[in-house]
Amino acid sequence: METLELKEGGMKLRIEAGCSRSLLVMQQSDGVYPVDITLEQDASLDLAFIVLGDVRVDNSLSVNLVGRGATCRLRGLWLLGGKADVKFDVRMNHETGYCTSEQIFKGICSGSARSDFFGLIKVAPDAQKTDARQQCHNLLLTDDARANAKPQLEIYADDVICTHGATVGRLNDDELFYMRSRGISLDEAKRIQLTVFAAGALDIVPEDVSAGLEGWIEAISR
Amino acid sequence: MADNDIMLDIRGLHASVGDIEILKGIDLQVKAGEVHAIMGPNGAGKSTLAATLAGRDNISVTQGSLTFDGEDLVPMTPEERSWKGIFLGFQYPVEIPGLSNANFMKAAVNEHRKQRGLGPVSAVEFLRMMKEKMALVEMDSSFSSRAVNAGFSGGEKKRNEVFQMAMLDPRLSILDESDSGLDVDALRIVGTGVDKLRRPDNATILITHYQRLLDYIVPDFIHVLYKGRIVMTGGKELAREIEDRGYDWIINTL
Ligand SMILES: Nc1ncnc2c1ncn2[C@@H]1O[C@H](COP(=O)(O)OP(=O)(O)OP(=O)(O)O)[C@@H](O)[C@H]1O
Ligand SMILES: [Mg+2]
Repeated sequence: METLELKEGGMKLRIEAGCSRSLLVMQQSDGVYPVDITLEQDASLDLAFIVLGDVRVDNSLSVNLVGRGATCRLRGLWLLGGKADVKFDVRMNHETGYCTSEQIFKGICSGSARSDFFGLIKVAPDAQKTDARQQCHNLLLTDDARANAKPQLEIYADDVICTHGATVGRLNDDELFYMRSRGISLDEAKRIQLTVFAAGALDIVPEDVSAGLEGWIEAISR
Repeated sequence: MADNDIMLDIRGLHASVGDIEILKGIDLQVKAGEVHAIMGPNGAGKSTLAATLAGRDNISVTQGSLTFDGEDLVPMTPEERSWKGIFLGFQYPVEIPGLSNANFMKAAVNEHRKQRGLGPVSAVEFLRMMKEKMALVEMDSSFSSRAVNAGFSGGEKKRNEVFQMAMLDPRLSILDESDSGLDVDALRIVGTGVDKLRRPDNATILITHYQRLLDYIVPDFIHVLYKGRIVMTGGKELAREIEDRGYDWIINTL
């Protein structure tokens, strides 16, 4: 996986026919980042965003699947605290058939952080055999934290699989009590729960990168 | 005055969930080496009593006292109670998708060790423990890499509770319907497993609806809980009588 530095003015990326890329975007400072990505025939892209800390970030991402058989796995994880304000606007455009997209977003907000996720999956009339999936799950750790997750589907083809799920929740008290009843301290139980939650968006990310997030998770869990 | 070998001492205990009082004056003393069974109709408050002992934070103790080895339990967190040696086998074990049974137990064992001033358990020692304790309840080793209780059958979950009990070697185990949903073979495995863990320095509270489990782990006392109170205490023969006659004959004499 290579690291991709986003540029504030906007950025275009093209994955040519038959090529595959695996990209990691780490965001720890403020910025507005429009990104436009095009995938040609049989191109494949793994793209992961990791947003950390007390930041104001506005990502708008459009992924255009223009060639048959293109595949995109998109991941996003944000671990926010302080007065962080993070926006994700994702448009997954299936412009032609036989393309696959899978999006998994996980967000944790503490302090008075907020996140807004908007995710559109658009399937063009002749994009038959599209397989498009999107998940966005959020955990709020404090009363002042906020998260919005709005998925939207616009489907103009009939022979497609499109799924989406969005949730905003809190730490699971039953799990915490169960762990604590075995002697796992509250802080550690929270840390375990957050680690397990975040792991769902880190499956395409190398192990050293996810291991590097432990400190962030620990900081946010207290 | 408190007897010196009383491990768990519950006196005049009242406890509420929100505004609803569920435990309405419970007295129970448990000594090292003893096995107590608690029976009683659905909704009597058995699980609430178990959860109160384990420190569930949505239950508040409103009256009475709760001590363990002479120490007040009420202000202690669930993890502190676990470190002191209290174990709750859940009636409904919780699923934790994404966390393996092995990692769960490693975290628990290491926290217990930390409290005793010990470093983390070695990989070799941990594997040995896992193997030994899984064998006690005849659990397949594949369960160690599976997520905690996730997708386990009802009986597998109950065995996993007893496995965890064995891993943590508690002084007081409260097993809330660890026999429910078990087939006859699993019941024998769980029953004999729990019985093998008995020692003169530990104690067990078994919450059950049936006599069957008590064939394997013979209790010193059986208490009948009804509407948040212990309304009768007897010996092991009480279980058979309840199984034959139900609870009406006890309730009708109140
Ligand atoms: N969180 C809660 N909110 C409201 N009522 C509760 C809550 N927890 C328990 N209760 C009530 O307290 C009473 C006792 O419940 P408890 O689970 O302790 O019963 P039990 O004796 O374990 O029953 P069973 O044999 O069915 O397991 C029940 O009437 C139950 O509905
Ligand atoms: Mg119960």
